[in-house]
Amino acid sequence: MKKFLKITIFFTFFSIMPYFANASNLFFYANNNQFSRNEEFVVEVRLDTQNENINAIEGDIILLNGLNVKSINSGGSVINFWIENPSVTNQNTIHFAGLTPGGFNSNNNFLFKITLFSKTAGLKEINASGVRVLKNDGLGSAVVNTTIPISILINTKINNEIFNFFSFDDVIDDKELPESFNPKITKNPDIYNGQNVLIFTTQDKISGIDHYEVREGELGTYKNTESPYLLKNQDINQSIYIKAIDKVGNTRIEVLRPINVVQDVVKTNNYFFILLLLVIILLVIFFRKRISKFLKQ
Amino acid sequence: MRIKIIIILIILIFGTTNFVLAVTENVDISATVLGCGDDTIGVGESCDGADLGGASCVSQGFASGTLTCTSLCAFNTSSCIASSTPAPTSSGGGVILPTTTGVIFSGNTIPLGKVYILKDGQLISTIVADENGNFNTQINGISTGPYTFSVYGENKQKMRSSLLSFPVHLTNSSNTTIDNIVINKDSFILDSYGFSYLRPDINHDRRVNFLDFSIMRIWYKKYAPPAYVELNNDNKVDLVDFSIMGYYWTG
Repeated sequence: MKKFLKITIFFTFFSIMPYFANASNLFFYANNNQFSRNEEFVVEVRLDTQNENINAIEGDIILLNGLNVKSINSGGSVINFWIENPSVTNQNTIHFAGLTPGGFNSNNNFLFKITLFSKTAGLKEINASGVRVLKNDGLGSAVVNTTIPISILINTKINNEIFNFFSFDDVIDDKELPESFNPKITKNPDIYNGQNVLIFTTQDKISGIDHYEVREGELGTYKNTESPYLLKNQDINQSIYIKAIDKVGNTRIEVLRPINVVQDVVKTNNYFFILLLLVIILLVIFFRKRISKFLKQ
Repeated sequence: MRIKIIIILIILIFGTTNFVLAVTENVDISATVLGCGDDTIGVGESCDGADLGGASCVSQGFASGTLTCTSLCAFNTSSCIASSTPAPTSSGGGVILPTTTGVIFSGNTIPLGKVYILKDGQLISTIVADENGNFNTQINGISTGPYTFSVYGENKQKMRSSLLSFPVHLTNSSNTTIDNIVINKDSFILDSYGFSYLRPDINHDRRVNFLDFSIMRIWYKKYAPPAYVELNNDNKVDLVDFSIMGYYWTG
């Protein structure tokens, strides 16, 4: 009887322990679990923080048995700053790492979504590995994460006539510009040998940011780039234009005006005094006889 | 001959004067005058000099432009642009303007305490509570969608509270109110200018924000990072360092 009691207590303790330990659940959401070959479908990556205030997460999403990535969209994510944007690192892995200052705490936090398709039929699985979830406690304490994988059945029946013309990426209804943002110029001895660099970031709540472009000066041309951007014009005496473009082409442009105002003021004053000097010299030359007479008196 | 001497004298005098004047313009005046004009937002001020408290034309309800501060410490929106080029629509059936909405923040903190408001980790407003500690402000021009707003307070001793986060999904139906925000006096435990604060402030501008994040990100998973970019003394920049930075974030 005692032995039975001990075993019962032992199993009860370990079965309820996860509810008391720091924990989180990474899970996936799809609106269906069956699709046809070549049909595009969306799987969302979500996090249940289980009452913990979480501010940082990283990991790999593993796509098994022949799933292909059409696109990845982080618009509307609970993550504010991506340390590493969710992106395909090899054929079947999507890596991501992000930070949300101050943290977040709910049972259904959207991280990003993946548009997928498969050319082959069969049962496909989406799982995760190397997931680290850290608390907003000033120490970066880790919580134990459990990943709940999702299985998707791809049917052999093909309905190309319907599905090949349909793409989730084409139907995103995004009329909003990317968020307004404040680009900054900074320098640090360990970045580009201490030269002036431009730093910027923004978000797009619907389709997500596609890319950034930067133009230096009125006559410059826009170039695809990312933050931090090494400024070609290190004098920073020309306007800098920064474009944020979302996945459907909506564009927000922010302008950074020249910051070397003091230099400009000094130059202006130099020009003023040079001009004044020339005028006085001309006056002296013009009235030299009168001045000579005046001096002789 | 005398004329030549006079011209040389004029050149020398003007050259010297010009040099002196040019140098004079570069002198930084560091005297602090309390009230409007001290470059620090105070009671009843929306802004002060270059300190806009994170506000922008967009937060004031405009589409774009440059927000400045008047000599009376009120926002000058004369360079803000009311409407922008409409976003393209895929339907092709006319123009639909972007939808924006406003958020009202109100609560209580210590009397005359500073309150900082962040939107998705970026500072968008700084206000000063009244003599009873009450504060109330409205931020306009925010697109609809999910956001994490954060609020923290700072007292006169430059001690600050940790971030209070408010996840909100904004819709275009009406303004959203985040009220009853309480930053009590016992929560001012983070040393704004002390050692604990300065470590995540990698570029030493007394803010922990996207600039510091960007510098740290360059060293993410790189070999032998400089000591000042890794915060837990384990000789590497990884997710833990970012988590520590996120806790001390000021926007």
